[in-house]
Amino acid sequence: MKNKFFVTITASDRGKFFTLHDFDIDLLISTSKIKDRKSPAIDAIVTQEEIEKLVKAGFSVKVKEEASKRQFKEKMTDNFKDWIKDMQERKEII
Amino acid sequence: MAYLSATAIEDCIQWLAVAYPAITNLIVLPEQSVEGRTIRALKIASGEGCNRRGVLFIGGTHARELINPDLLVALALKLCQAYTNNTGLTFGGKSYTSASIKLIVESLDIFILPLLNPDGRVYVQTTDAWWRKNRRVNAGSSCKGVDLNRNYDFLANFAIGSTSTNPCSETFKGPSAFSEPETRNARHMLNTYPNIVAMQDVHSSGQLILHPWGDDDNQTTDPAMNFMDPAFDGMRGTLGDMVYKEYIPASDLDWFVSTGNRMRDAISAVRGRMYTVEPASQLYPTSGTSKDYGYSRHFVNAAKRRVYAYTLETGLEFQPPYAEALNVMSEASAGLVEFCLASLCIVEDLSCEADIVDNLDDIRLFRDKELWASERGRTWIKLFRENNWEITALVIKNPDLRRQAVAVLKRANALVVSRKQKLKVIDMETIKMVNDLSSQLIKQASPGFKKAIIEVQNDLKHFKGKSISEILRSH
Repeated sequence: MKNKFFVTITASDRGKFFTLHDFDIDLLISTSKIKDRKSPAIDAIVTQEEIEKLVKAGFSVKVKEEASKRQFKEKMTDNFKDWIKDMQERKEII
Repeated sequence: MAYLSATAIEDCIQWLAVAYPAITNLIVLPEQSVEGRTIRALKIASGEGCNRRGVLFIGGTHARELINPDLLVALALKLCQAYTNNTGLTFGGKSYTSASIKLIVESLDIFILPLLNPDGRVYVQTTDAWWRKNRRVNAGSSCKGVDLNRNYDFLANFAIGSTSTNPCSETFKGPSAFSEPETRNARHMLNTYPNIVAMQDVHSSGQLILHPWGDDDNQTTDPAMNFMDPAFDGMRGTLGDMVYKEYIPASDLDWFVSTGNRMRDAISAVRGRMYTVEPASQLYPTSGTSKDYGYSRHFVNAAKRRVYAYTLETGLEFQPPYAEALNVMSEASAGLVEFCLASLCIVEDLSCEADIVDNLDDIRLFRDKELWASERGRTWIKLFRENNWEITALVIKNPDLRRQAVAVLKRANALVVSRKQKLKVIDMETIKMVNDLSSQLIKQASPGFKKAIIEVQNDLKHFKGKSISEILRSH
């Protein structure tokens, strides 16, 4: 699996910004900032090749972090009763 | 502490149904996931009121957004515990009394579907932490998966904005609307439980409370400009232009914004995080999302109930450390409990006793068209919406108040029915009944509700001998 990166993509104007979906990249649309901004921006999870394509197309791409650094590393718990016990210890539930 | 696996989520839902049999029902959804996993929901409700409203919470649509299935399972557990032990619920700086929890569980059917996409969650655990879609094998493509939140039947023949026809895209809409068993299960909930009037599809992240529409800017003035009219095909999805904006009735928009603001305030009280309430299109246009489908159903088929459907985007990360996930779960839970309170309706609760069920559609029409058209009418609607849960709480538990409220509702219904007859005026007895009821309510009301009652009582002084149309015209 290719390395991925959390990035912020900035477009020069709104018109250009709304062409981003043509790249079929993993846009995180809940991070979209278009209101009252001359240079709208959005976060995405992309590969190195996708960064290069975006830059070539005139977008500014700021790499925030390698994606693997943000993932939850521990194994998920299969035993919900242990989870409930932990929740009780943390006083989240009674 | 770690997130719950797909298996643990399903086990916990089944356990809750066994541990709290008096107030829960396990719902096994009719279709297994693409990879053959059974998907379940839980109904939490005490008693069986006639014409009772339902609220639906969906989680785990996007596999990598790990918090929300845990959040919904925890909320189900907390509601069951609090109701059974007759306690309140506290989320950081926001508390709900035992009376509020009792009111929610005894007046609403709460449907919780915590994990819509179990295959995706397993894949996130085992293979790719950033997987979003389900695990569909796409014919003719080496890329797997359909974005379930682009697969609903809303403008399904189009790929607006962040909606893709490319199977390799993270927002691939699939070959057709409801091509996926997982979205068909969500539709099954809305079809099978037609009392569902409000819905939250819980996602991450962004700290957002998103309401319709998602395909274009909203407008409240031209009902003919809407998603069903093919004359506008190809014009949707460009924000800020004058070519097309999606119609939303002003009264509905008010409900979405005021309820969203209530949720925002409840969330903020937990630990100060300020969520933003806005139409989803303002982020990036979309088609095929759950919220737009849920809300659009009654426009497509007027026989279906109007569902006030939102997308809640929790927290700021997909997979924060669990200590932070617990904080996000806490604030989002406060928002969801507040949403339940906002979804209560005393008129519908008492509609069977008042024998006005058959006229509820006309009452809603009167509210949305005629009342809303006058400034005073809008004020009354807003006062009623803001205080509906408190009226419900006071009236439901007190037999005398309940009797009085039923009598007032019957009178109000008669006035609505006869509103076209100019000679039908509000008589002294009706005004006295409303005054008597409001005088009882004011004794136990919160300061905000007291203020609203006084405003209504002042208005009432001018109503005697006037017809409804005269009253609305005079304001």
